[in-house]
Amino acid sequence: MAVTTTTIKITLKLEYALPAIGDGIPFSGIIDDPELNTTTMVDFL
Amino acid sequence: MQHHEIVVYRFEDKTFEVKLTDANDAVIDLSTGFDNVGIFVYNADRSILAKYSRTVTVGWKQMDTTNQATGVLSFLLDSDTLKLASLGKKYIEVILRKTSGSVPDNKYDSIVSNYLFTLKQSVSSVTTLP
Repeated sequence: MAVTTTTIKITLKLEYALPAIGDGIPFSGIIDDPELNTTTMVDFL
Repeated sequence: MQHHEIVVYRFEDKTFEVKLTDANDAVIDLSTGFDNVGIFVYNADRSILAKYSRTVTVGWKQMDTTNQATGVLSFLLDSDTLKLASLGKKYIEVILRKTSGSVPDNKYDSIVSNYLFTLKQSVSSVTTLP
């Protein structure tokens, strides 16, 4: 079903340069606090 | 940091169009150099309300990448998701995986997070209309 929506436009400005390759977070859990909401763990992309 | 409130009501369908810029206000070209881009919409307690992937992946919603070369990503937050969400402030976090043969598939850079909107209950959704 086609959904007609209004659009909210925002700009996110990075405060720093993009990280270099390999600096990233090893990403298999929730955003930044594994103590919270272990039932909402995200999957690998 | 934006301080004005963006209100979304329960049972609405909202499209968000997010433009990513660097510290000098130049747009970030997402069309090359990145294997994937992910977006989280999350609650104040950091539980996740919705998650979007640029690539088709089970469990992730798709984002619209039509204008990614100019740093713009769009995603739909639908009423099926919002009708179950807790009221209050919602936040966004964007993650990137750069293109590199040596970077594991699950290695991402978290590049920005910010307030996104405030979810409210509309008065018309809690009463019987004439």
